[in-house]
Amino acid sequence: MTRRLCTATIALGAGLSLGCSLLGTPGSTPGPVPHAGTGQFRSLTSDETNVAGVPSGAAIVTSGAGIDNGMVAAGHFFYAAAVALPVDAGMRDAGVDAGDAGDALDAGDPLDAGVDAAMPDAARPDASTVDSGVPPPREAVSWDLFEPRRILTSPPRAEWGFTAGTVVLEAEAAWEGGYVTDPWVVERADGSFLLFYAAAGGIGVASAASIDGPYTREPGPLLAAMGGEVPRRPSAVRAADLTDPPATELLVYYELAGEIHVAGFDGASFTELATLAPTPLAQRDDRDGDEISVGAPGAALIPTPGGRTVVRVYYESRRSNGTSLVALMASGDGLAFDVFERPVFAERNRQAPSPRYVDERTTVLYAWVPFRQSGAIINAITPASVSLVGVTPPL
Amino acid sequence: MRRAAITLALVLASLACADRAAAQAMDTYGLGSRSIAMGGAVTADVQDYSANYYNPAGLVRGSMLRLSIGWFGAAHDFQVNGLGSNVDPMHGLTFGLVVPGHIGDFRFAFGIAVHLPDDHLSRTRSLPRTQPRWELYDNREHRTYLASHIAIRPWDWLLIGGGISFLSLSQNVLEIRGDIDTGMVTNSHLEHSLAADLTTIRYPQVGVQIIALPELSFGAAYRGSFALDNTLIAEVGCPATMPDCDHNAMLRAIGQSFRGYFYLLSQSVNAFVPQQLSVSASWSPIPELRINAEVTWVNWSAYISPVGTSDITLQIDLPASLRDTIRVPSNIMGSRPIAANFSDRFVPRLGVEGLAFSSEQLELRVRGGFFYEQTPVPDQTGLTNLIDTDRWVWSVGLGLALIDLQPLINGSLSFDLHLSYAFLPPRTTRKASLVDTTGDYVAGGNMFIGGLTMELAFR
Repeated sequence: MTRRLCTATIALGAGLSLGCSLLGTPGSTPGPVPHAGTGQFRSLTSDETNVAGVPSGAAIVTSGAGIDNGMVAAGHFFYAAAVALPVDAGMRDAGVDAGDAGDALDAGDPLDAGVDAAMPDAARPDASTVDSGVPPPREAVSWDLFEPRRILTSPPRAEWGFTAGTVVLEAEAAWEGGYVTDPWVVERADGSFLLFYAAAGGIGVASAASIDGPYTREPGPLLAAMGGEVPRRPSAVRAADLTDPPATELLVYYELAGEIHVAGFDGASFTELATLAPTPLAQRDDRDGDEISVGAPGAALIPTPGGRTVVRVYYESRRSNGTSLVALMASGDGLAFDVFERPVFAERNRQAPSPRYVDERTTVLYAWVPFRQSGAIINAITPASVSLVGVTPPL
Repeated sequence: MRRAAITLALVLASLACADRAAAQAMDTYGLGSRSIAMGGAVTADVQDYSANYYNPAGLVRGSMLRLSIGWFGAAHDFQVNGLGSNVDPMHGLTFGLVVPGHIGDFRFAFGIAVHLPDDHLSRTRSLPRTQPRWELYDNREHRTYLASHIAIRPWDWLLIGGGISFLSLSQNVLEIRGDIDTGMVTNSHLEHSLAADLTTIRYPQVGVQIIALPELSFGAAYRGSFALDNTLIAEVGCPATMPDCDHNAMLRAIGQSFRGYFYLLSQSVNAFVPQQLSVSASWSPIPELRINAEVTWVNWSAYISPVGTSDITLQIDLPASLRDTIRVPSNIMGSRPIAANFSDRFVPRLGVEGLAFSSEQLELRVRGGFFYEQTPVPDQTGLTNLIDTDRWVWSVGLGLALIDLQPLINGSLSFDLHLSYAFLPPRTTRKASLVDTTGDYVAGGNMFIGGLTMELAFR
């Protein structure tokens, strides 16, 4: 009996061991790796934006309107837009037809959408810009063909695109020169909202108790044009949220004379803090041209898994051949920046980037692109492998 | 004098065969259920087949012929920023043999141990230098291990052992030839050949046990360092200097054909285990209780970074008419090794074994152990992302021995069970560059290890 028991025990043990040895499985690939959500960006699909129409990945499509820069705050989409003038009301007779102009995105090369023979004289670069190379393709949009640009807002959606919005601000003051654009909304510590914007005479601000408005503008510009140079594309973040905060309530980044500046704003005084001089982006190949200026900053606070909160500023790196690359820099105090060494888009026609924090590894970026002489805002994401289908945007 | 000469000759003979070898699972998970259950603090008293790893001198401590077979498994629950890292589990079979003998009153023993993973006999991975990886767990344990040692006992109180362990390195050559039609993919025709070469590498191990008193012994063991070199060569087509080569690769685009050549050489160290020195004591204050303490010095500062060298050559003989359409980079940057800068570590270990039950036919022992290993990996503030954290390991075990199997065999049969839990506390990495593509991360996790060893011992 003992002999049988021992034999059975040994056989069982050996059998189990050998059986287990046959349970091999192929090796798996390393799991999802951490990603800072800095770049490279890919355009969203229409399934992710749930916006019908072209161009693919558009954040919003508005029929018969020109679209200028946009951004998202608390789930609301703020953008500038203008309705096209009737064909016989202006220079549309000069031969600029949205339908005929082709698809700038399809062209792939913004030069194609840049200075062309059909462009009215008013939209051509003037002599003062010739020395610094071909201007960025944004100049291809002649806002003279549209009614004055106004700032609109669209409410949050369950998808990543937006429907046409309602007007929250239009030009009234003389210094605004008849239009307002480049909206940027930031929530203050007390829960109220500030809407920074650009106009012909400089940068202004309006305030509201709710993000939906109504917005009440300050009578004069925060920063007026000086020496023929007009500041534009303000972009603000709350300074106190930074890991190493400077002594100001808000940091406002803006473009002036081909440079990016940062100012402090506490609701009353607007104080220049620094001029940022990011290291120029090197060429990837000769289609990139050389960097001749920077501008159109778009800033966002990014909390990192490491417990820090940094400000990321995406901006345009304008090139000598008229193209525009989107670049990135980041800072812990909002003033001293590390610069990402590569553009965050493969394309050379993305402009006025506006980041939206999604989570620790995901960033959505809205960027303006030339499109049928009226512009569009493309919605993009990094990491490119992340799909937003079925993912509800954060507020 | 004669004994000392034999001892010296045997040790030198074992070392003469040694070379560099590769990483093995024992450094992470241990070997043998009793030894693992005691936290690996067995250098001073080990005598089963796991002596092949912990201290080969222990092979000659007992007088019984031992045959062991076991199975073990380890599951990794590692996360980075809350996302599972998908580190493969590790499991496999272990076999061992301890054969004692004597010539007159000169005692000696021979031992072998085999660790046979049941998923991968050997695995290599070469990842981009910036890709995060659990450096000490992701890949280096996935390989077969074979150790053979001899031990002698020139005097009753002195046991000496040494030998070599075998692992493999690899070189892989991938050749691709054929035509690629960039306009009509279905017209492409490619064939390839792959040559993979696994060769044996070895590392030395020596140890000593001193039995000062029946209830007190000491041990020391040295394990050599070893590295696994990984070479991958991928070649498509022939260089321009070999126009008549028989595996040209032709590219077709926009109705034209032209020759292309691509060459990739990647060399890296896929796994490295540093040299180690363990010093241990084993005390039995009462016959039913044994307490072991040990410390291991691990020379992690010699760690060779897995970030290796890569050289890339791309030659495309573009027709003049396509040079404005297709752009070929004039130079593709390779990569160069980045120093790992690991730090040496002392690893303290404790083990306890108690006799819970005893009869003429049966013995039941309970065991417990602990060790702590501070991570040797520096803060990954730069380009590399070699993820690791400290490791706190607790283990328990049971040993059931049927000590009288007469008349079946003149010996005993024992079953040893071990269970271990390793806690890797979260570690925060903050990058020096705020635009680092990986960014800051928090890494940590748990590891669960279990296994069973069956041993037949013959008197």
